[in-house]
Amino acid sequence: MIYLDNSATTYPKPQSVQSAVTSAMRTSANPGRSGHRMSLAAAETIYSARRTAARFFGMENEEKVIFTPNCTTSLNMAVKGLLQSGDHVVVSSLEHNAVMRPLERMKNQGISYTKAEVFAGNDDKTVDSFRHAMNGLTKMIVCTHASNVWGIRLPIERLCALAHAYGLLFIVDAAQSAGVIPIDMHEGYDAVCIAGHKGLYGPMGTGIMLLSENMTMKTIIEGGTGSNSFSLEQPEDLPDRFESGTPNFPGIAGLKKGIEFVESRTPEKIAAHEFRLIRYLYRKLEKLPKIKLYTPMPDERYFVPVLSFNADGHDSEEIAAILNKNGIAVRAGLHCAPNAHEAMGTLEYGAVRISPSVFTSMNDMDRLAYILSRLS
Amino acid sequence: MGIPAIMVSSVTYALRGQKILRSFGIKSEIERTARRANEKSCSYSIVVNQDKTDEAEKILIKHGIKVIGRTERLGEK
Repeated sequence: MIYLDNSATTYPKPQSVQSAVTSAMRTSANPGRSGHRMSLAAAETIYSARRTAARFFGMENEEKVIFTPNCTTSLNMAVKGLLQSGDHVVVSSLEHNAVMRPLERMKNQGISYTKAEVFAGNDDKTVDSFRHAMNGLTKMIVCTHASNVWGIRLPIERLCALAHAYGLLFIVDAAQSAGVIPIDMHEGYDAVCIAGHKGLYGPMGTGIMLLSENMTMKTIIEGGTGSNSFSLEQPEDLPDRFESGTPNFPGIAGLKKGIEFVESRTPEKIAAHEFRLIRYLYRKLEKLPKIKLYTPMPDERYFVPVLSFNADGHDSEEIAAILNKNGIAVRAGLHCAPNAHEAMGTLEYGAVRISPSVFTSMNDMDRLAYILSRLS
Repeated sequence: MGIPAIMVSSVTYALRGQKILRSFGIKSEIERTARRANEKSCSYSIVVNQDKTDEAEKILIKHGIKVIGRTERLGEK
């Protein structure tokens, strides 16, 4: 199978990740609960993973690295933990349902939101759009770093500065960017929510929430942490406060190796490889009369290496099915981001998304373009 | 008197404390804290050579580790 669905989850995982997961399954006990060697060894591995993530994202304090089951959980924790009745939120026009559904549900708690239009390739207009979407009740900007459908990249450094200039919180959904765009917490983000199994090449079922040095928030999940158990109140200390329940130890062990894999290659080099592939494909597809592309040629400054398209006369899912029969894995439909499709006018039929990884080759792009060129 | 142990509130603090002490050339071990020693229970303790406990505790506090008290090493009585 030619796997081009890496925005859903990267495949294959590096050998080091697979080995770490297998090893953890064979040897692990519950970390942070007991005092025996097996439990302490597992706790040391998790602590080491926390340090690896902290180093990778420019953090001094590894306790601010919170492991979660996925990016959606991280976003729910940040959004629900920080907002209260009467608050207004600004989001982008390209948000995933991981942001939109919590906000929509919180409308009945008196939370409101405004969508700011994103202008691909024009950061000034995008920042202005966010500024105009703010009002006197705005508490937070929460936005994607890069659209999971169109690859359009948002200027989060500037949006963070904008938010802080007005005393607002700034939360980043980095599901599609972590691993291909360097993220440095020194920029001042209040929280960054990350998928462990995409650009960081970790196992599915892993996510991270990075918190700024002084960030505090309510919990949305409480329970056993292996610490301060006499008290019925959730501990204040991090990371325990936000890590109730037994963690996904094999997943976190694998995620550590995944981050090290990306670190060793560097996000910049990985992105350069994937952009070469995407631009090569773009040049081929723009010559095919049936293929409709929606964005300009992807440029590192304004995009991540993701490309979505449609083919005249075909539903996006039909194209994905044809490609599947020809041994190519892609994702079609709405990608859990109806807003992003609405912004581009593809809400009715969705689109076909191509997302390469470090393991994708030019031959894979040639094969895809060849199959698409034969569409009737 | 058993061997003294420095109590911290979580395994993450214990592991970070161990790393800090290592950078000062102080070897340590981590173990669960005796229930009797800590009413809040379920904490971890850092054990160092007996004559370095005071020095280790000062280093830990100086580096932001929340020390919640002293106890004695488990299984030493």
